[in-house]
Amino acid sequence: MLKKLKYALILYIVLLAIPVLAVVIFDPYYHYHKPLKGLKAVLYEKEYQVVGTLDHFDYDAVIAGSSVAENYNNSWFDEIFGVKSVKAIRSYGATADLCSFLDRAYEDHDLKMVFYNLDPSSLKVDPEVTFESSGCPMYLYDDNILNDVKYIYNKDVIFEKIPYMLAKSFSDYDEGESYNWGRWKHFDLEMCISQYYRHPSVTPMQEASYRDEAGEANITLIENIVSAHPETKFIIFTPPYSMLWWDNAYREGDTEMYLRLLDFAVKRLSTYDNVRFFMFSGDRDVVLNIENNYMDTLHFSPEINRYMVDRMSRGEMEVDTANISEEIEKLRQMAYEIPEELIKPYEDVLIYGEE
Amino acid sequence: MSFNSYIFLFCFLPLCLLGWYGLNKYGKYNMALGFLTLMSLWFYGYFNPSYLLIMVASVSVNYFLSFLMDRSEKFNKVFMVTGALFNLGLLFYYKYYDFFIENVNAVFKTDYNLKHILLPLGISFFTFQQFSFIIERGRKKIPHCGPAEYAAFVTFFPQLVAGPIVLYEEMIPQFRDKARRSFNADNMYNGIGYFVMGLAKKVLLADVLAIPVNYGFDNSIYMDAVGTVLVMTAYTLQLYFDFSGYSDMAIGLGLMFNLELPVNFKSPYKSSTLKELWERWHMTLTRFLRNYVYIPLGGNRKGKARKLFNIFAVFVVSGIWHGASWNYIIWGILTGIIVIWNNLNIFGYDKNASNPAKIVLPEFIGRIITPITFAFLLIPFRSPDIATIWVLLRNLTKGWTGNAYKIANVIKLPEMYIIEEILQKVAPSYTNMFALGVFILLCALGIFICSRKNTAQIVNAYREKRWFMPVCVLLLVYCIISFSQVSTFIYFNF
Repeated sequence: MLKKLKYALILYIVLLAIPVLAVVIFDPYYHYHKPLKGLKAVLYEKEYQVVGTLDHFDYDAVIAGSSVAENYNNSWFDEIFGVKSVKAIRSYGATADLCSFLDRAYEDHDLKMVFYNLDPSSLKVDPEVTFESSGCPMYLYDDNILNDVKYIYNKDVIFEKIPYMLAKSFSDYDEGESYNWGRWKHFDLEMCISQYYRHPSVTPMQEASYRDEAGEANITLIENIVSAHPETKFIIFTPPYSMLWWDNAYREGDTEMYLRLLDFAVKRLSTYDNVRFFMFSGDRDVVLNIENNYMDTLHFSPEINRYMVDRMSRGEMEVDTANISEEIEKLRQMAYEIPEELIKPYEDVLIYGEE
Repeated sequence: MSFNSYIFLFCFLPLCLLGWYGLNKYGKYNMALGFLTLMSLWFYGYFNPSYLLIMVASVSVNYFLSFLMDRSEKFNKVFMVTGALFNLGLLFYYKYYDFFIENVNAVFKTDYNLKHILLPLGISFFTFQQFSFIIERGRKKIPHCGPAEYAAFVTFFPQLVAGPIVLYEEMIPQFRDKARRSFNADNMYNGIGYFVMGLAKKVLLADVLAIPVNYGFDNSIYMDAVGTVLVMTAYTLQLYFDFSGYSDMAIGLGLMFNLELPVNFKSPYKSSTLKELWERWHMTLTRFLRNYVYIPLGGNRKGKARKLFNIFAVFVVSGIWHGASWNYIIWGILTGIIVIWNNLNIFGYDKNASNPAKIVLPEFIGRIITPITFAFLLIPFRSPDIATIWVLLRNLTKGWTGNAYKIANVIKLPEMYIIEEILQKVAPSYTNMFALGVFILLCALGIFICSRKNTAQIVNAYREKRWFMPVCVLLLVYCIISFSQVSTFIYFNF
């Protein structure tokens, strides 16, 4: 019996080694290395793959942002700005999370450029890293090899992620479209209206400064990175959220708070020589066109992503300390015009939520 | 920590076995018991360190009372009653306080505050174990024992959180038997067999079946008859695989330590009556209820009517034991009524029995009816509230609305991923049917397994076969790669 147990132990060790080999070699989350030669970088699960990408890929530029930045094709930036970029995406674009990604990227890479999608909504949240609290797989985020068992001995990875990566590698998969979700979505009035639950009543406008503390702290986080890396050129831009988002901000009494935080961000960040700031928040052509551009209150179509890259490459929509007050005033006009006038034609089809 | 976790398999268990056999090898028998207790406390505290205080307090008080009984036999009964009240009080406070207050508030229109106490895992199990100990000490049927023995007896990790509910006479003599302190290859071999089969029941069957079950019960109002029948079937199987899987693992782990734990399940779904099913299901709880509820109430010694009442009382207590909720009490009452019906012996399946029934039917009828009855009884058992019970029963009249597809589609097995992808490409209209087919096959597989040999029979029948251990090792590794998707055990909360 002892002999049988010894054989069983050997078999156990051999069988345990098979998943280790499969996962370490193919490594669909790029936790150990960049894609093997001949295989493509198949990136579609940001919580699982961004960290590995930042640690092991060859790149000199990072596209950082929230879900609205997922539909950029890396090649647009690469061709226009002459860089090799990867994406660092975090749901909701929490500033502390994105800055943590950038710190990680700087550990082993010299970055020529950072394209930073700055969501206005991310400025008001607490400047805390949210990976753990939001349930990210921390075994991929830390350096503890012991908890890698969750990655290595994981049948999702073995039966699903590895075959998917291999299948995509041998298809016409475009590596530049990492994390892209736009191709499966519809961007039209029906879609975006169905995702907006309008407050039945309007909250009186809150004190514009009520999220100053969080906003200042978030901007400081970005500033710290910008100032620590003068060799990197930072292209910071705010995305064009739809008029429905601005209507909601108005009804929650937050319009002035957002305007103030945007004003802060531009005034502080654009003073750095290595920063250029572009503001699409008030781009009326995009923001007001909910017939064609949006799938909900803020997620726009990939065509808008392309449009933004093109305009930035031409230096359009740029703001700085000289023109920001004027731009914020224009944005304010639009932000109030929306609930008071521009949304009226849609009021009959809007869905009203509960108080 | 859970048996189905990486830390348990890769760290805790090897360390524990090495420490246990290492200390025993050098004759440090008491130290080995102390080591086993400390490791068991780590195992228990891993869920929530604050539970340890309750556990240590419970063990200390019971041991101290036993010590007092040893010192002053005159007050034996006083200490016994004190111990019984302490154990029941502990259980009442942590498990039933809020339920009691809720009902007091409802009946007397009062507004006493609820405490929202977090139920310590396995409190029912270690409390019943110690309740039994203190009663038997009071009855002078068992002697006092050393503190290390007692602590190891209560905390021995394989049975600590979800049983089997072991007795003093089952464990303490084994701890004292020096022959059991050395490595036994036969028992290690059998133990691995038990453990792996239990683990496979839990990880590969119960946890997969749990996915549609949880979805079904969470969305019960949308279910049609087909979906409801499938979900009820899946839950009946899930509960068995979950709990009997845990018991198999506990027995297997015990054997790895060269210690034998009592059998807790004996193919219950092969029973031809509900009465028989309960003699084969959670057998150590049934034993406990017989010894400390049924017999003290008079058992079968006070006439037939009293016997039937005592049976009913046992099932009501069993319902209350399972949880602080009216659902469990309803379940207990209904089960009690059916077991009483079985005891009336009007219909039976064994014409050769010493007391054959008035009407004897072929046994296969009972074997079909009994699991179906049990499945129906599990509706109140699993439903989150009374309203859901009615919703599910009403669903059985809804026929087919296609909702069963939706339930089946929540089962996303990684093993099926490639097939699903291919199907999506070549015949997308069949994907729903495929998902439903997988769900039905899973249920059919579960029923098939329940109808065959149980774990003990498999280990005994096939342990000598050359393929037995390689298959066990293969299953073990397959379970390990499935750990990322597993949940806790249902009976941890009872």
